[in-house]
Order: sequence, then structure tokens, then C-alpha cells
Amino acid sequence: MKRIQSPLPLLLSFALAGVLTASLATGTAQSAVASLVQIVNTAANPVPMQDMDNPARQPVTILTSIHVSANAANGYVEPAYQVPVGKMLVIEYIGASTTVIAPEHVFSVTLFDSNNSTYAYAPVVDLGTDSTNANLHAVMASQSVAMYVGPGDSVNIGVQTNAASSGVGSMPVQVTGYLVDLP
Amino acid sequence: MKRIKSHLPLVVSFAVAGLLTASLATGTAQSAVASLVQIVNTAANPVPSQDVDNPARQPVSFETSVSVSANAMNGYAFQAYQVPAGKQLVIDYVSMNSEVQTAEQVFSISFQEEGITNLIFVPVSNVASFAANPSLHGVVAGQAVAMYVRAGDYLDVGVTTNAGAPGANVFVSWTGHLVNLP
Repeated sequence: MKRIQSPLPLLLSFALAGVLTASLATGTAQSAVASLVQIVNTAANPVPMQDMDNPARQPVTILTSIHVSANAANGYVEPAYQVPVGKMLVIEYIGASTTVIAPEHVFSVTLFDSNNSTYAYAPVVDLGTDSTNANLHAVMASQSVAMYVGPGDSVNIGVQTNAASSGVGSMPVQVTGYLVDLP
Repeated sequence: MKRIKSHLPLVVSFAVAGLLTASLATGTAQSAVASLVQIVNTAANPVPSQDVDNPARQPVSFETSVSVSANAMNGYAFQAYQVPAGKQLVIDYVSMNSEVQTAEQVFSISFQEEGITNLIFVPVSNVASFAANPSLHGVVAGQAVAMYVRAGDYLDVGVTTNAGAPGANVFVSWTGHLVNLP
């Protein structure tokens, strides 16, 4: 009888410990996996969000001036900008404005990457002649674009003309866009 | 002694049942219920988010050459691009810059999703003649667009002209991005 009585409390202790351990262990496992949550914000109380890739966070402005020699069909600035490592450049806009001397005509502004794999052309419009000098006429480009240039690559900017004898002394070109962090 | 002996299996059974019930019951509760939470961030402390479909994540660009035969009204580069499976192509910008003989006038460039009536046209401007070769003149186009091409489909690129005698060979560029489909 003594021999049997003594294991009884021990068995009960084991049973109790088993139940406690089971629930505690399950609790630990629960915290290791994701808990399910439901967001209950309403239209009147929306969740304020902030887009980490918002263009205003990492804006890029490239301002350069392009010269086209007399009788040349093109002028370039290579490179005009190099994309930082770990970023993607998104180009959104090309603008250019200058005056040229007849018979020079400017056709377009060209953006292309250093791999020659991406091109975007922006047409240049002839706006008319200067009232005091009929040989002088204004040209302009203002164009929304979408162009993507990869990390480490460069952006080159060019101007195409009709290769007249006047050339283009200096054509300011502005390119705007933004950077996005890559994973 | 007999009384105690007879209770022993019962105690052990309860212990085992306790263990099983504890683990099973917790598992059931986990899968059925989601906790309700309210995000209390303010405009001054907003939740940071990131659009996985941002165009910069999967950019696409392409330049293709399109030939228009002498006296032909159109030229095409059929199946210039195929959208990968599981993706939607969004075309953001199309442009071209080329030179053609004076008798040839380029009217427009077009993009069509092959096999269906999903088609856009972009006008082409005739700019000016080349100083040293007046029979050659520049043609330019550039236009922000929005066109969506389905997974697996082909994109055809076309050029429309006045069917002049010289014909034309122009380079057409486009940029866009891919979006993963569910």
C-alpha cells in the first residue's frame, strides 16, 4: 500500500505539468506565427499613408546646355547624369527653349541611356521669328515623357537639327524625374 | 489499495485528455478569429507604404524599325514585342525621330494589340528640310499615352504615310512598364 500511495502525487503532478506545459508551449508557438488582424478604420477615419516612392521624395533635375556645330546634324552631352547604384531613375518631363538663326531648324531633343537600349524623343516646335530680327526664331520643347534608366547607367541628351550653317550656339535642356529605391 | 489501484488509469487518461484538448482548442481559436485593430497613426506620423506596381519596378523599353515600301500607305513591325505570361504591359510614352525623302509624308505611328481592336495612333510632325539636302526632311513624334496589353499578347507597330514614291524607314521607340497579374 505504501509503495502504491507514493507514486500517486507524482503522477498527478506530471498530469498537471503536462496540461500547463501544453498551453504555455502553444502560446509560444502562437507568437511565432503572424496574428490575424482586421483593420476597422472607416471612411471618416482613414489610415494616413505615405508612399515611400513618391516622386517628391527623391526628385532629380538635370539641367544642361547643348551645342550643335555649324553644318552638324546633332549635338550631345554624354553623360548628362549618372543614376546612383541601387536606384531606378524615372524621367517624367523634357523641356528646352532657345533661339536659332535661320536656316537652322531644331527637330527634336533625344534622351537615351548609356546602353543605347532606351530612347525617348521630344519634338521641338518652331514658334516664329523675332520682330526685330527676322533671321532669329524661337524654338521650344515641352513634353511629358516616361523613361526608365537603370542603376549605374547614364542619361545622355542630344539635339537633332537640319544641319544648317548656323548651328545652335546653346540650347538649354531641362529634364526632371525622380529616383526609386530598388530592393 | 484496490481502490487506489482502480483510479490510476483514470488519472492518466485525464492527463492525456488535458494535453490533447489544450493543444487542439488553441489551434481552432487561432484560425477562426482575427483581432480588430484601429490604426491610430496621424497625418504627421503616417504609415509608410510602397506601391509594388510602381512603374520603376519593371520598366520596359523598345525601339523598332518600320519600313514602308515605295507607294505603300503603311508599314508594320508585326509581333515587335510579346507581353510575358502573368504580366500586363502598360505603354507610357511613344516617340520617333527620323528623316524621309520630301515626296514621302509620314502621318502617324500606331500600336496595336495583335488580334483585337486595341489600337492607338500618335501624330507625326513634319519639321523641316535638311540644309545640305533639301529633298530630305525630318519627321518627329512624341506623345505620352496610356495603352494596356494583355499577358501573352503581341504588340504590332505601324507607320502610316501618304504612299509616296520614296517609301520610308523609321525608328519608333516606346517605354512602359509591366504589372504582375494575380
